[in-house]
Amino acid sequence: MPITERTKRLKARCRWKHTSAGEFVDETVRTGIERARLITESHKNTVGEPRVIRRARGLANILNNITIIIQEDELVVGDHIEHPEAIPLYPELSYFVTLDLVQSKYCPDEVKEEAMEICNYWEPYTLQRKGEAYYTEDELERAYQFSTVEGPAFVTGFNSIVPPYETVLEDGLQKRIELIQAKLDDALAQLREFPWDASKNLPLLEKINNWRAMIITDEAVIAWARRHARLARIIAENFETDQNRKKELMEISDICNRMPAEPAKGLRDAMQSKWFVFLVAHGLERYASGYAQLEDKLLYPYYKTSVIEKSFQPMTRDEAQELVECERLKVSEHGSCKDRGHREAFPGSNDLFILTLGGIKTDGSDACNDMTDIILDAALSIRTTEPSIAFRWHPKGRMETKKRVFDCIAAGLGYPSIKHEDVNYSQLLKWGATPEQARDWLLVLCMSPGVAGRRATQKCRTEGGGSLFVAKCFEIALYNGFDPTFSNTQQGPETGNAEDFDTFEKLWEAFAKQIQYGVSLAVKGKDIARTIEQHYLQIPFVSSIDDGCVETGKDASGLVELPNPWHNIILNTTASDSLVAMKKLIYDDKKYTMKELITALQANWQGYEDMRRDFLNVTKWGNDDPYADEITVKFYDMLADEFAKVTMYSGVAPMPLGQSVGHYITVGSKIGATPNGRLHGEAADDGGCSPYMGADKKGPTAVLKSVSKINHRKFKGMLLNQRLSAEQMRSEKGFDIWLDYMDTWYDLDLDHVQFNVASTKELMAAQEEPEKYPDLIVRVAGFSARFVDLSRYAQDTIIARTEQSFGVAQ
Amino acid sequence: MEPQIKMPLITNIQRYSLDDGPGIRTVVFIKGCPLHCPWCHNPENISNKMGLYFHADKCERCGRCVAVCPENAITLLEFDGSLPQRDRDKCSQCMKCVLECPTGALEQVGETLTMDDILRESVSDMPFYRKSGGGVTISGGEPLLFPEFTLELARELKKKYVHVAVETSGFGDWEHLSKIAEYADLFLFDLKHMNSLRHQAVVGVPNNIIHDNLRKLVNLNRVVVRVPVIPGFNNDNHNFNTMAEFLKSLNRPVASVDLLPFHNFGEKKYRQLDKKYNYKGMPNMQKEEVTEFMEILKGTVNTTIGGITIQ
Repeated sequence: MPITERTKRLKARCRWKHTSAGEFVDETVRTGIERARLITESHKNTVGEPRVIRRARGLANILNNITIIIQEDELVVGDHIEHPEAIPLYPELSYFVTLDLVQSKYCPDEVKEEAMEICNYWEPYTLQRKGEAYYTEDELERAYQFSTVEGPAFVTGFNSIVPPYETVLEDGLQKRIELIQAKLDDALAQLREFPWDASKNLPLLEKINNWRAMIITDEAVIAWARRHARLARIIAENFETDQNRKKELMEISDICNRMPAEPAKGLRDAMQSKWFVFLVAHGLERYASGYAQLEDKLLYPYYKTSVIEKSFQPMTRDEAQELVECERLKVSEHGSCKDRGHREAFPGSNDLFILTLGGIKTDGSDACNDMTDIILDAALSIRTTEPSIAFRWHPKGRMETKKRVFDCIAAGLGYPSIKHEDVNYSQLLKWGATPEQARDWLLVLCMSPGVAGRRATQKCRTEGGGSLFVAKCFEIALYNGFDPTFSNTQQGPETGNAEDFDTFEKLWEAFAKQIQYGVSLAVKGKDIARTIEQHYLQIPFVSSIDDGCVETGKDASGLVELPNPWHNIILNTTASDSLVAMKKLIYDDKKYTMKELITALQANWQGYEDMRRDFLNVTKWGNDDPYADEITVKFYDMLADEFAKVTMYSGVAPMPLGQSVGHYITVGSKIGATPNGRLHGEAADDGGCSPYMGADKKGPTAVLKSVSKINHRKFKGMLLNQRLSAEQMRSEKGFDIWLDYMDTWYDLDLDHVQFNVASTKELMAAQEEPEKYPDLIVRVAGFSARFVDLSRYAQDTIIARTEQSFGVAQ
Repeated sequence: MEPQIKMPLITNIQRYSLDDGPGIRTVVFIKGCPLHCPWCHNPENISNKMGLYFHADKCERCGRCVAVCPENAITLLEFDGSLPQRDRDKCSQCMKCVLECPTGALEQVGETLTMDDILRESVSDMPFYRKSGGGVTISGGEPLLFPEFTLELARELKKKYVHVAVETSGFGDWEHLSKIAEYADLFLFDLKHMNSLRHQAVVGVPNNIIHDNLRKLVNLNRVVVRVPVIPGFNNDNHNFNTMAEFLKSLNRPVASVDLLPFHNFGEKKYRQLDKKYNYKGMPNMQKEEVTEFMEILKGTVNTTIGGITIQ
């Protein structure tokens, strides 16, 4: 239950932005027009100015003129949009996405014409059209199928970021402006020096533009925050009749006057300042997914001031929890503007909001603190799917915090997901982070670690993120690179037909080539998008709060101080189980010929039921079986090897990251029958290296043993789903057993694990009577969703995951 | 060369078991039991012969099992839509029907495994045993029905530093039991009824051998007594008062007593084995229904209710 009457009311009227099968569940969701209108107006008025200045003025025009909102009961205020039911448009990003939304039912009639005009105005200037210029028609066709690879970033417009909140909370934007002004003054002074030195001076020209743009945006952000201060005071003085609320509004006014211009002093300051930064970085300057932050570490100093010492903005622990509840509801209401493909990919969710807690501090001690506990308590009391939480697990973690992690999981929230402290810490050292930097790691999206801090802005979607659909690459490797089940086009290079592979090695080689083609196609799209972004879609506000960008005068979209690239490998187990079954029945036992198998696959197994049973019965990944596990581990090694051949923008090879998002449902449906016995269109495997749903017959310990054979340190991350019995978790010895399980999980050196804890009975009851289960939350992939928001199909895939229960004497 | 030992059929080696001894355990289920407790929730382990499950929900009435059965033990009426029927008395356990069944509706129960196979699977979860204080439990069926095997398995497990528990009805030769006790770390020892006649009438054997064995075993090993509380059989105060007296009279106390309230989770298996379930419609016993027995025993020995966690 929400901790106060206030948060109860706020939750009851929260405008969730969850999507299901690509559509918003709440039918009142609509597209806003103000952001699109204001950036267009500015784009027209700034013709001829340096591009980065145009970007800065565009943001300033939005901030100066967008309708601002303060809602009843709110303690954390501000939105990125003119109405809480609306989602913004970003016409400068993807033409397709804007067009799709403008033509959809979400765009209200009264603004449709204007929105279409804006959409068409931007078409030639979009990131999309600029990116397409470097591709052939055929290549674009392949990339747009969303079957072997995700659409390129310049078409989806999908991006994410981790802004360095630290600088704003510690310095305040006024101080940032002073720092930038000093850099600017120095540079201008240097230009006046003689004798003239072109090599030193000419690079300054671009930097001067960047610094000027940073100052424009910082000033605009302060002014925009202060509009909230005025509005709060106007409401308090003219409209509010409740004395308590009047007082609150005056306090909000005071906070918005000082935040984010000045350093935060108390917990309310810090929460509001952080929220403003989030809105600008993720929703106003450009669309960027994510809610990544080390929140317990960020807020603890202010918690100490307000709750322990009570020297500024004094409050009780419960009030602090209420504040976190308010924050969670703000996030739940925050509408993003994802393209249709990504809306489909995150069923039941709004966007990828994931914060990170726990871990080890730079001094080697446990990082858990009272703020960690409050955030977990608030998650359990308010029960929203977002933001999701990742917990950095290590043996030194304090027990009262681990118990709270357990309580959230046992209650069925699906989070915290758990990440291995050392596997993730060590990984960051690889690309040059110092041991101190690497200790400050967080998840930059749902699965991947990155460094946090004052000069560590993470550009996730062009540096990391994006998907390679391994099972689809595997399928086309059987058909000479042709896709016979979804697009009917040549989807990859010609690598021969399955009937020609007289040895397992030849099959393997063809598959590896398709993987290489796919990953190169995908990475190319990211690098091209990033290169264009630096020239046309700079992010001067985010740059202004990053110490590295201020120091070097570079825009955050381009600066690389610590590379952190990865690309997701998705739908792995469908491919690896298929390889195992083929090796066994075709190459080892020779029970069937390849021709027979291909005929059966093309018939979707119909008429070949006995044969299908044989392929289904071949031992599967996740049962600690040496035969299946050996091939599967080689399969993962192959993926890592192919990735290692690629060089990215940031100068290093991307690492593969095994996960699923919701793609296992949508892309799974684009894959024909597969040799693991799966039928055409059935969901593919649901997560990273997790066993295929229901294929793990030997319980959770066998799953962990299998999974531990993969060298997790060769991967950026490796998602593992476990569904544990609700009865077991909620029984008296649930916590003890789970701790033993987790400690062993840690010893086995696994990267990640996350849990679904809801009984099959409960889930099926919720399918029957959804209105009775509004708060039943499940883990879908790297995020949680309300079960009733999911499509029936997605619900069924969750139920199909093997429920790992107590071994009742069988 | 070592002498051949009589190997039992194994029905399951179940990992991540949490109710048959401390910690996270693997349970080796042996097929064959000299008792025939009517409430048995592992009825597939009573017979020492190969068994057959029929999963009605998977059957598509294709009739292949009928055609392949050499004993003509399976019949399928073509017209009335009913499922195939098996005459278990005629069955010679050839398992041809299982191999032929395209949907997995017929499943073999019991498998011949080598000692190496059993050992390999039993120790697979070693990392979990060390963390949780778990290990391997030899169960059944009745391990004492295969004393050489049980002894050998326990001995091999101890060589690998695994905690070994033996779950037994206590019905067997003391000579065997005492040897096994040299290697086992713990016995989970059933007491069912204190009245020998009643015991014999319901489960098929008297309780005097069992009680004698327990008297001797407590001198050698750690013993947890488990009492299935069965409605209409042993759920009366007199029985538990007598049990308390008996436990008090032992030379050394047992470690604890665990009361296992009756549950009907085994019912489905009876159906799958074409066996009649004697407790059809009987609800699961609630904790509260056995509290008074716990109170009786508590005066003598530490007593808990549990074993099965699923309610």
